[in-house]
Amino acid sequence: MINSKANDGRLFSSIEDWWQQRFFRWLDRKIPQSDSYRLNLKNLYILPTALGWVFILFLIVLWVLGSNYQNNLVLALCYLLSSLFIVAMHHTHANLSGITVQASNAKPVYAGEETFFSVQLSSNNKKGHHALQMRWQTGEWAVVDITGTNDEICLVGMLVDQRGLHKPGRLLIESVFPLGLMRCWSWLSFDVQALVYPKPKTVEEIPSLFGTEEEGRHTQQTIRGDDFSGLRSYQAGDSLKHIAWKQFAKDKGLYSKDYRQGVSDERSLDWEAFRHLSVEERISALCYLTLYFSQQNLVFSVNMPGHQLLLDSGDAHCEKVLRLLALLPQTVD
Amino acid sequence: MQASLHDKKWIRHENLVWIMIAQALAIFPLLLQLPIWLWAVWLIAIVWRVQIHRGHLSFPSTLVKAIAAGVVVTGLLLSFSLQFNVHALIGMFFCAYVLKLIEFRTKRDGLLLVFLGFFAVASQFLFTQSMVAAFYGFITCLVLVAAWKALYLDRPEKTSVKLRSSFVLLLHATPLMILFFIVMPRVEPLWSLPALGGSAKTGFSDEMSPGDVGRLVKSSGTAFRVEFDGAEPESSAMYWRGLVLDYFDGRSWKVYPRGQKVQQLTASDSIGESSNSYYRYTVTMEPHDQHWLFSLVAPISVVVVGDEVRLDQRLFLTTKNPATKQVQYRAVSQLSDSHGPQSFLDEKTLAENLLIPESLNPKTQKQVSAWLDEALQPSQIILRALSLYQESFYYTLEPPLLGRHSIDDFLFTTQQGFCEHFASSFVFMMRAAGIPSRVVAGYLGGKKNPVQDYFIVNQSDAHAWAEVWLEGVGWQRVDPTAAVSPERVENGIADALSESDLQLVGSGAYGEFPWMKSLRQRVDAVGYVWNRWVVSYDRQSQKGVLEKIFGGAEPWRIAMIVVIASLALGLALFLYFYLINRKRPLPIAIRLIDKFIRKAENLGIKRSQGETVSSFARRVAVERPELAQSTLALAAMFDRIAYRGDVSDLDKLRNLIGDFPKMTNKYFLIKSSVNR
Repeated sequence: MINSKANDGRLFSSIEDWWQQRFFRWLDRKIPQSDSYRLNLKNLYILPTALGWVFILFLIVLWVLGSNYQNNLVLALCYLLSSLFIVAMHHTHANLSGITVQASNAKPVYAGEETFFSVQLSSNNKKGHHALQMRWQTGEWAVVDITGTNDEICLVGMLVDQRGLHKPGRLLIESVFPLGLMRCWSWLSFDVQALVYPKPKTVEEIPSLFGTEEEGRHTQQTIRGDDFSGLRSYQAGDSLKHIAWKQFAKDKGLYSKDYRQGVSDERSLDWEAFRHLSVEERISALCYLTLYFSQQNLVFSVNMPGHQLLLDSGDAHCEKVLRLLALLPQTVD
Repeated sequence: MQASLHDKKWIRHENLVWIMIAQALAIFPLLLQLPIWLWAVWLIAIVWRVQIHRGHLSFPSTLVKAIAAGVVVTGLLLSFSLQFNVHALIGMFFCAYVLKLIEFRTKRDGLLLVFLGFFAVASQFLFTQSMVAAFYGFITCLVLVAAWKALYLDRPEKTSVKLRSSFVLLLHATPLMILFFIVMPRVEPLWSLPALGGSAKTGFSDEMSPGDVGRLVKSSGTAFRVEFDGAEPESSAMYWRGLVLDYFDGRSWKVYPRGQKVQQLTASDSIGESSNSYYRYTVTMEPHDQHWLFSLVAPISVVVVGDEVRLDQRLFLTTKNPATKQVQYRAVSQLSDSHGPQSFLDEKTLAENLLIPESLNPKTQKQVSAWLDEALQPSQIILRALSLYQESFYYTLEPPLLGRHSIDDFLFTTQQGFCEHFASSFVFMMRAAGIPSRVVAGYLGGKKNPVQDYFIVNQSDAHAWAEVWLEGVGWQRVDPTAAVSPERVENGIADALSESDLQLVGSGAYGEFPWMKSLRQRVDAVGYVWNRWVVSYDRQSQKGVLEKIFGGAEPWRIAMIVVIASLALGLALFLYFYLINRKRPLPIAIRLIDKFIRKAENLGIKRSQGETVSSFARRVAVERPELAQSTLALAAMFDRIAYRGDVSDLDKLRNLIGDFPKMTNKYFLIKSSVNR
């Protein structure tokens, strides 16, 4: 699988933008959102590429040559290539037709990074599907082949600048295989999203943010292996004693309670501590601290407008805080 | 929005090689036609590109490219001595195509090279349209398409896979191509293009000296092929009239140089079908670089597509353009031994057809005046002359040389000659006797090819005969050769000549083994069909074919039939795929499960009455733990298909059951991990 840069010159003028919007509105009726698509006549579109038009021009030149010299073999060649064009249309269509496409949520990333949604392509066609290209509405190309009847999982990425829950828009899947004369494509809409954490912003003066001295010293003790730090998915070999039966009873799945060993410091993430910064900068700073604390395996509490979290540590806690920061409305205060 | 994602990406090594192979195939036939030094240009380009690939050279700068282009253009101009013909144009194209190689680095360049390759195939067809050329062109296209398709793949592929998929593409394209070829309207040339330079061709020239026809007879090769539509005349009546030679300078016979009134001939479909004396035939004439066509007397209608046919008053046919390539024409003739005005010959024609050099051949003139003194009628004089030949004349391909009084020498001294000697001396005698007469050159007879039911007229069938004008009859054909050697007329040249002469005819094509003859006939038949129906398929033959297939050649009819046919085909395909997709998955799954149960029972695990598939599968898993994984998986798939209508696993189920007893847990895990 290769990711390659999208075309640099993709600048839409307003007219194109307008058309695009209209087109997508129309598309919403034509291809409504779904969890899984099977590409077929209903949702595939096909038109000649630029090369296809050049080829048509070439065919006309050949035809004129053949007619002017009354040369039947030149005409036959012209007709062979014309038929090839039509056959290529069917092959290009068949190259996409019959593929089942599913997409799933992306793993969380930080703003400014590329988030990858995994797109699963499966097909029963033994001949396989070649040179399939995919991208989100504003994303970068991913190229994939499906060989045999195996499923392919392809990561299709897009750059995200802003924190929050990010919807990728429609997925463009297209192919010009085998001859590049025809382009067959579809725009699919999936209910998937990517959680985008704020971009961490380095904070220089960490000490001033620590909780009170006494508190800090008080809690600075070693807890050996029985400090409950959260839940994680059950893995084979986990002790039965640690299974979170309560969650299991509620039908939430099988989890193990995670117990951590380590030294923990109590800290507080305080919204008010960065008054001098703008909202987004403040969020970025808090993001940095969250990561910093988690890396140091410190215990910290959170105090943000509308959200208070008690002292805790560990990955789950960290994720919880990051999620909170990611989803914080832009107009706090 | 971007279809051409990797247009700017550098080409892969594999694709470079494929494009170069395809190019080599495409240009090889051109190299045979172009100046020899272009081989060097090609080889330099290849070495250059390979050195670039290996890193020994860099891509050429604009200056270097300009210099290279300048050098080859100068070379071409010198080679073609500043002439602007098709060879020179193709030379230019060749150089552009070959030199493009040295700056070839991206996919876009690759596409350009592929397109130029197709163009090279087309220009090869300008030189030759033989079946071999067509086959070679197809192979070239196969490689070109393979190279083209590889440009769109980002991974290497085996050669066999490449060629096979290219073949599949072309195979799918072929039926449509044939349809296009048959029904697409043919047009007249849109504008005139520089003509192809021709090479020397064999055939009649516009004058005939003693020995000319003999030389023609000795040359091998075909003059033309004829296919009759309906009745065929006897081979001995097939006098293929080419030229009328009515001017004698003492040695050669020529076509009288003055412009004669000509009449334009066009298609006349209204000629009655019923009359027995009408013959309809299609002639496929080999190129002979001259303007004349050959026909039976008397032509009523002659049609050459893309050319104008004129009928000279002397009853011979010419076209506007010389026959530099194969010409096909349809003709209708009304067979008769005489033609033209019966009661009166205009003065000018009379004078022309009586003219002989007074000072030459005194013996002959004396002989003729002796006949005239006997007050013989013209028809009696003709018989006298013919009986003269029957006395002691000898028909041979190798006549002795003749002196200044060539006719005297022939008639009274050597008495050995070929048809032109007989025709020439006969016409001389007739003119001396005041009977208007002229020499006609053409071919006599034709050999039937039993394979495809057509006649081949070879150069060895070349013949010359005479025509005299008799009051009340018109122009009457007289063949003096028939007087001396009736076998020539009745059975063809092979029977008329002696053994030793026969070796000379058609470069020894006579007297071969029977199997060789039959093989040659077959090969000729294939070539004939190719030329008749592919190379010479024009508006006229198209009309015939369309009428035969569709009952008419009107555009609306063709369009309607093609549209209806494609709709029907589309509907058929749709129904086929629809039914395939709609095939109830459950019966298929049950059939598959039955197969599984049979296979399991072969392993010794019997299914009890009323046992469900999943409980049976569990039992199999218990009894054969090494098959547990795949057995349980296929039972689960069957349940999904049968009870949830989820058919997505039908193919996997088929594969699993197909592999059933071989699919141990280990392989199952490996396979499913590959799948994921």
